[in-house]
Amino acid sequence: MAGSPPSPPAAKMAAYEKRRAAAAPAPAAGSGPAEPLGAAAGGGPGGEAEFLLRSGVTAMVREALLKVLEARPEEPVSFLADYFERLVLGGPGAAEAAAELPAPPQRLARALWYVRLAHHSHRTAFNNNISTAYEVLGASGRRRRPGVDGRLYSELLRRICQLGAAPQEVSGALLRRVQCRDHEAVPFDVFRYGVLTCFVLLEFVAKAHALYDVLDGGTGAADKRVCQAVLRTLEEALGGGDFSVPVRYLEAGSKLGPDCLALAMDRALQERKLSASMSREEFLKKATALFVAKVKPVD
Amino acid sequence: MSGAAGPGRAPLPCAARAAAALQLPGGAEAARPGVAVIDLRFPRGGAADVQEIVFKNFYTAFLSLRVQRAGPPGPRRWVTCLRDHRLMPSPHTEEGSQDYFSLRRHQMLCDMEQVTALRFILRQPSPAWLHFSIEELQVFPPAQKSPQQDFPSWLSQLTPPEQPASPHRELPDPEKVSTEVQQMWVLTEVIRARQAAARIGRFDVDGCYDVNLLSYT
Repeated sequence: MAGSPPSPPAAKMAAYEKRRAAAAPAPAAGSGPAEPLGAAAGGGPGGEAEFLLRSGVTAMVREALLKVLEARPEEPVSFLADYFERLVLGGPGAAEAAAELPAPPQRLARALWYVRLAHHSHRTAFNNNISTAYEVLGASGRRRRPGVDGRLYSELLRRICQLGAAPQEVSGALLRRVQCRDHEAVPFDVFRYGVLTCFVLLEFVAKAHALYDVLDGGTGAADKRVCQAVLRTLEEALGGGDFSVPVRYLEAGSKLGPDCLALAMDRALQERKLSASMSREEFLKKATALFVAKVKPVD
Repeated sequence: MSGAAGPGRAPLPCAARAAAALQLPGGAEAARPGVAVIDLRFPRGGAADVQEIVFKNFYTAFLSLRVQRAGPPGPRRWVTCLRDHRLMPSPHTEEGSQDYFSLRRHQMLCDMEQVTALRFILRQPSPAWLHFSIEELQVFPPAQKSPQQDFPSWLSQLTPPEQPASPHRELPDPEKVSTEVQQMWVLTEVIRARQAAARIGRFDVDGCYDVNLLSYT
């Protein structure tokens, strides 16, 4: 936090003071744990621990730490700075003071921030964040009609896709499958799945990039036959839908092992065909087409 | 015990002769020796592996079983594979008299492979019962397919059948390729496994509604 400028101007400090004054009588009425803590600090009613409790700093910092643990950001300082900034912008105090909800662009930005907090493999944290984002987007102001419509949802998905290195064409193909129409009310489950798919797509594209780097061997142009062989192997591994889940996983593990892949690539190279190269864009397109085909379309 | 035959199993086709009571030479017909024999053969003199024999008792107290097995040419020997197996705990009382029984391979005294004929020797020492026999005789082969034969080849072969004899030098590193491809596969499976159950509930097909869905109210 050392780098963050002491931005809260006097008005905000005043708001804090007011809140503190307002909150002061409430715990004194008889909140059990506050008193012994205050006594332990030895400061009586004005003790430091008690102040932290009363002003909500303890809970706030704990929440922030939890978020850091959830997200495990690479740069915790900027993450925390961002977090507290959001807290000020979107906190209950701000909402009460303004008495009106932020406009859609702000809500979108906040929702985007929430869904990016945790990686999708941290399933609980990710789902929690998505549900928070859903609430943020759904709080549609004074009309008291909670819910997310297709327009906001699709816009959020578009923004998520812009975060990564996915070509427009690729993300467009996915969006066509999962986005909703402007007037449609989006159920949470559909929302969750759409957001998840976009994030996974970004990761998939990153992996496809890395795979192309391996395949081209640093020359910038990978052999078309090899690329096709690898993609075909992946497609076959994904296609085995006849078996139950564990068998399918075992089968894919076997097919995608180094031995089988080496064999497939070797066979491809032995084909007496004109040696051509496959561009990175084409490879990405073909690889993500395999992925998008497995995404369940909204219906 | 009844219906020991599993639903997926079919009994072997076989022909059983009716129970023939043992005749003493010159004996009167009224004398009941308390022993009867049922012969069972497979069609066209064939042989079969026997896994299980299922039948319904009809007042037989003891059962012995002898089999003939395919072997070197010459007169076939009868081999005893079950000796005085008790079906009724007390021959004079009803208990066990009409139960279903299942005899399995491990209860037999000899191998049950390539059996050409079976002979059931039934004994009923009690004079209380005029007739005794066994009914609904069924012979089952071992399970047709052993599970091993059902395995796909990729599961049983840990290494691919043929290694590339001379890997091309320009081949990308299979280890790295495999790592990336496997991760791409995992990501796709994530999408498959965490599908949304909810539906928007669209009624239109490609932006057009079926006219029957429109209501005038």
